[in-house]
Amino acid sequence: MKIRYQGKETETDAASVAAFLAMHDVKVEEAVVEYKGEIFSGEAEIAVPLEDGAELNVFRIVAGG
Amino acid sequence: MGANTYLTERERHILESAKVGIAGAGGLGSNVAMLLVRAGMKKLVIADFDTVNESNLNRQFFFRRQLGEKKIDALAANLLQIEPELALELHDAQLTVDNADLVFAGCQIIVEAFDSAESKAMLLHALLPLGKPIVSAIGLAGWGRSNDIRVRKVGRNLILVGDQTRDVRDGFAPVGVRVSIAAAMQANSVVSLLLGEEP
Repeated sequence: MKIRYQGKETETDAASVAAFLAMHDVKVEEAVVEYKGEIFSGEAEIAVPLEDGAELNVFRIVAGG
Repeated sequence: MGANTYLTERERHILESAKVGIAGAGGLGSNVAMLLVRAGMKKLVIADFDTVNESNLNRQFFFRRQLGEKKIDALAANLLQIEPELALELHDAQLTVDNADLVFAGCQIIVEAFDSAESKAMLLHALLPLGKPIVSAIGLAGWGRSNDIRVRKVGRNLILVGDQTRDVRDGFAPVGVRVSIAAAMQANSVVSLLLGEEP
């Protein structure tokens, strides 16, 4: 299936948001995950199935302030 | 009369009545607080457990004579120099998953103004599910690349300021010229949200 990841069309066979994030080395606790316009933060939330055409954005939390 | 004499009666009423929380009184938080008071806000809830040290003076709204003072006390004194009629709620505390929602319970908007990535992540994961607008700054270290610092709306209630890239852990120094841009964009987002406009 194809999803829109970080603004770009991306081909994937990941079954869930969690699986996709794991494939891309994203640690949920160190990022803000936006899937289909909603923020997902917990392990349970990201276990949802990845849907064809859905939009997924990851914002890595970096230090500084 | 508030500090900002350029506001309409309606704008002044909205800003003076609103209560905003600021998590952290360092490079981001001290400057956000200063700008919100200059914008006409009077009710701020500020939490920080740290003291002012010399390395803070490159970017934080403190002065050399305040070295060693608690940041919340030094910041309150400086804010009151701008506007004497403030209702400041100061918390000399380290925010955690367990107390962050209580500290900011009465606030309409919360500003994430920490420096460490771990603290930023903790606050965002603790407060975002509550649904209140959170204005966070991520990616503001170093200098130059001013146009890379942007404001984005993420999900329903996160306003994210920064370039999401430049990390002090990668050797980019926290410098006032760029931290202040992010702080100003956070404060601008708060004012805009309160006045019903796009951040």
